Amino acid sequence: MTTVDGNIIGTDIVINHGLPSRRWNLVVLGDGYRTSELIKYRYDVQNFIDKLKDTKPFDEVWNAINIYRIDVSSTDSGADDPVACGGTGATPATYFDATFCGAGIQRLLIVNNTTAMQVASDRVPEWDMILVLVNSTVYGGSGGAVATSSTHPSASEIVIHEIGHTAFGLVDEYEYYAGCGSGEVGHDVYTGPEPFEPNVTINTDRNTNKWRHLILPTTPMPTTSNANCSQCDPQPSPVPQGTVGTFEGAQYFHCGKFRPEFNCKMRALGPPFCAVCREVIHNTFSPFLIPISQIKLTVTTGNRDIDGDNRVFLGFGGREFRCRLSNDSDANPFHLQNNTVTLTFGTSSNVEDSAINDPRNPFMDVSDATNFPVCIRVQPKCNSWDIISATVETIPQTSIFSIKYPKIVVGDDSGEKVELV
Amino acid sequence: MSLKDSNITKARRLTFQYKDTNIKLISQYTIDKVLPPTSPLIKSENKSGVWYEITDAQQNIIYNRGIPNAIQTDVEVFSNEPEEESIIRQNVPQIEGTFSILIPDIPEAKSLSIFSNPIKKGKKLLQKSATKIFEMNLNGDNIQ
Repeated sequence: MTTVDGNIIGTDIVINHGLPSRRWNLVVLGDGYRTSELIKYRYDVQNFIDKLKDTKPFDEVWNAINIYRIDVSSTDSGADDPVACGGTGATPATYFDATFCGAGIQRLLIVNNTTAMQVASDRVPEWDMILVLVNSTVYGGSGGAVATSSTHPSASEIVIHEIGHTAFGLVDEYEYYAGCGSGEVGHDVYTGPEPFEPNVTINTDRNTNKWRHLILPTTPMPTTSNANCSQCDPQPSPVPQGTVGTFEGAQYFHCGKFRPEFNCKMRALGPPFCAVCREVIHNTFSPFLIPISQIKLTVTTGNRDIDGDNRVFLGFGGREFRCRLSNDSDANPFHLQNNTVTLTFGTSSNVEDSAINDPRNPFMDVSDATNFPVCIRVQPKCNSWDIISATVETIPQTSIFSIKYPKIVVGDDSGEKVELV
Repeated sequence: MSLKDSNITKARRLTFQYKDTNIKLISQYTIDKVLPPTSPLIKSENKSGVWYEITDAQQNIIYNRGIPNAIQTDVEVFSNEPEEESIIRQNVPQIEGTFSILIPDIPEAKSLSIFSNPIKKGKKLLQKSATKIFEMNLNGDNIQ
């Protein structure tokens, strides 16, 4: 039930947005997968990735994330499931020694954290977060330095909540410790100092509260108060879902601590992250996103005319930029024969409507440059536009894109779009 | 000086072992790595929670990050009920484990401190002001 019970097979980068030194790196390890089950492991990892990407705001910062999958085979399949917690008594031999019933708690799925960190450090020294995916359909997981998850369909919610703690420094927003109906004592009223963490506070003053920039002037402060601190506040939210304010009851106390929204993924599994937590996640990822500040398109035309009224667009990074020089009476800057024109978008812009033709707004990451096709499109379709050369460059430099076949004639042999590679 | 907006590209990973309030550095290595931005550089007095901070030679805080579940005095337990109380907490019998942090590897960084609410042996974190539970000279000498 140790590393002699399996082997490291290999490491794959399954979500690749660039150098690990420049990105936030999640490392996924598998435990309890025999060699013959590694295809299933890859499928399970992909399922988790899909779930993570579907969770706001991870979809909005996806370019900041690399995900590495380390394939680890174990001698046996599954995880220990002690009888003491009502389990089957199974004790499979696995590489990270995964077991349910950690600390005597049935659903607490734990692994050998030291081994997991060592394997991750050996393979991806730049890791930011480690997840061990355990080949069992029993519902379970855990947080801490290393997150664990079974393959139960709901277990990924556990992982994402735990990532909230480990990667973003978010604390629990639930207002109880052992449960509202547990009869717990010592959790009535918090009288301690302001929490360090960003998503819980004792401060209900709208002028000094730490998430005050997200609170509307019309939102009452506090937004809810618990009338009976010996128990959880039973009242429903008095404000629409998504309203940021101060809701009494947070981080294991019925009163005295406040959470930013009525509900949040840091309060319960299932709901989305609240706006405060989303902002923290965005801020954490911000250094891992590399903005494109400038796109430069240079086109040299040949001997054939194109109508100066035709509109031209540059497709780049999944968006289209209108190609028109500022203060130019012609819609098409490339309509003259045997001419070279350079259009600059973003920093040092020379195009019309520069604010809406700017790669900085909305934000564009360098990985967008290669994730989407690059093309020039003319509208309406013409039959006589001779392009000798066309190049696209960016700051910071990504790739230099050029038309594949010089002296291409738009509308003749290539349709209305010219692709650059 | 704040590192919030600077471009940190060198980092040091420190891995610790803890048992109750005894924290021991067990490994470290340096890497080329962008780091998350610092949390607000607030003074550590009269705050609750668990976090680490880096100070310069003048004891100014230049980087800090919350690590709320690094030292596990209790764990989260998950129910099958997704709507309400899908999570509760339960004490662990022994406060021990490992955790890892990334800190900026820059000349200005002179000291690392870890703060935590007081930990009563075998009990959960007390809801009082955090105190310094570990300090390390980043030139390599363990101070405390």
